[in-house]
Amino acid sequence: MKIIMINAMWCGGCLVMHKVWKQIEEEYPSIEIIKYDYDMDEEEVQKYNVGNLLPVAIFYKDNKEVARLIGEKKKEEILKVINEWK
Amino acid sequence: MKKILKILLVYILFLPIIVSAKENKVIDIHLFYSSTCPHCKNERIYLEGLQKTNENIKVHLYEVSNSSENSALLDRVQELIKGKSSHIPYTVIGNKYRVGFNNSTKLEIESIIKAYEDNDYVDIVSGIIDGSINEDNIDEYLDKVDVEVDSDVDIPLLGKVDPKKVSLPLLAIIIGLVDGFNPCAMWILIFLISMLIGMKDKKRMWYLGSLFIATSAIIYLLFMVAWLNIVIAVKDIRWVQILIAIVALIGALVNIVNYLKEVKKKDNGCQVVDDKKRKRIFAKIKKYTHEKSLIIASIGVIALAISVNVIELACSAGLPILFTNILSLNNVSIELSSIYILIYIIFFMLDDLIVFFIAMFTLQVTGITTKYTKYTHLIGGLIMLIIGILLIIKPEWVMFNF
Repeated sequence: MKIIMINAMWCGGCLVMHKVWKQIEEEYPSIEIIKYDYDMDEEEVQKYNVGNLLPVAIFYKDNKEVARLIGEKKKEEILKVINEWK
Repeated sequence: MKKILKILLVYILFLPIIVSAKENKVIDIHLFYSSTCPHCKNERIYLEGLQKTNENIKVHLYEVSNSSENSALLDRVQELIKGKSSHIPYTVIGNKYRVGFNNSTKLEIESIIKAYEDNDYVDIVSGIIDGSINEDNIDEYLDKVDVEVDSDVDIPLLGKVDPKKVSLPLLAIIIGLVDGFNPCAMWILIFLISMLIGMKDKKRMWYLGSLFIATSAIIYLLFMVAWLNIVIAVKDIRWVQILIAIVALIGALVNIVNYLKEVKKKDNGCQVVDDKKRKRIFAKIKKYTHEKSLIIASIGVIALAISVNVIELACSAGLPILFTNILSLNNVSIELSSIYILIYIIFFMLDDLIVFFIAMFTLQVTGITTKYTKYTHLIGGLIMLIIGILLIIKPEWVMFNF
C-alpha cells in the first residue's frame, strides 16, 4: 500500500496531523508514505488534482487510487481506510 | 421626675425644628432639555412626578434648542463641572450630572437625591448662575461636595460590582478572543515561523518573529484607536448608530452563513488561499527572512505585518468596530478606552503568541486545529447579531444600563 500525503507548511491543520501520521508510520512500516508540500512540490501536487482544502491523503493499492481523505482526520478514521485496503 | 419632664418638654419643642432642618433641605434638580427630544419629555414627566411626591425637590428647567441663553448656560455648567457632552437631556444635581434618560437614570437620580439628603449639599448650577461659583473656586466645590452614588449590582458570590467596570474588560476579552481565533491570516505567521526556524539563527528568529507580532498588534491598536475617535465624534448621531448596527447585522449574516456552510461540509481543514496572493506573500517572506542586512529584513517584516493586518482587518473588522463603538457609547475616557483596547489586542493576539512561543522554545511549528474554526464564525456572528439588534432597539443595554 502507498499513501500520498499533501500538506502545506503554513497549514495549522496539517501540522496538527503530523503526530498522528508519525505514529501510523511507526505502526505500519510496510506502508510507503510519500509526503509533498503544496507549495514546494507544486509540480508533483498538480498530478493529484487536489482541491482547496488541506491536508489530503490519497491511498493507493496496486498503483490504483482506492480512497482519499480530505482535511483533518482522527487517527481511527485513517486506520479504518488502511485496514480496509491494506 | 421634674427633670425628665423638662427633657421631654425640650425634646417635644425642638424635635420639629430638628426634623424640619432635614426636611427643609431642598435638593435642586437642573434639567437641560430640548422641546423636540422624546427622552427629554419622558424625563420632564418623571421629574414633575418626583417634585409632586417630594416637597424637598425643586426642578429647574432649561430649554436649550430655542434659547441661546440656556444653551450658553449649559456650556458653562459642563465646562465648570468637567462634564462635556453634546447629549441631552442633561441633568445636574449638586455636582453630579447624568446624560440621557432611561430606567437606570431614574434609579441614579433617586440615589443621588438620597445621598445628598444625608450629606453636605451645594447647588452648583445656582452658584454658577449667580456668579458665586466660577473657575477660581469650582474645584473646591467639586472636591468638597461629593457623595458616593451606589449604582453597583449585587451579584451572588461576587457581591456588589459596577456593571460597567466588569462588563467592558470582560467584553474586551471575549470579543478579542473570538476575533483572534478567526484564522484569516494565521497561515502567514506559520509560514514566517517555518522560514525562521529553517534559518537556525535563534536571535534572528526571536527578533524577526517578535517584530512581526509587535507590528501586527500596533497596526490593530492604531486602527481601533482611530476608529474610536471617529465613533466618539459621531456617537450622538442616531442614524450613524443605525448604520453601524446594519453593518454588524450584515457581518452577523456572513458569519452565520459561513458557519452553516462549514457544518454541511464533513471535512475540516486549511482553506487554500488563491495562488497568486499566496505566492506573492511567500516570496516576500522568503526574501526578507533570508536578507543578510538586518535593517532591510526588519523593514520587510514590518511591511509584511502591515499588509497582513490589512487582510485581517478586512476579514474581521466588524468585531473591533463594534467594540470601539461600545466604548464610545459608554463615555469611557480615552485613557481607559486605550486600556480596554489593549486588553482586546492581547487576547486577539493570544493564538499567534502561543504558536510563536511554542515554535521558539521547541523549534517546531505547531498549528491550531481547524476543527473549531466554524465555531468562531458562529460565536462571532451571534455577538454581532446581538449587539446589532441592541444598537437599534435597546442602545442603553449596550451601555450596561438595564
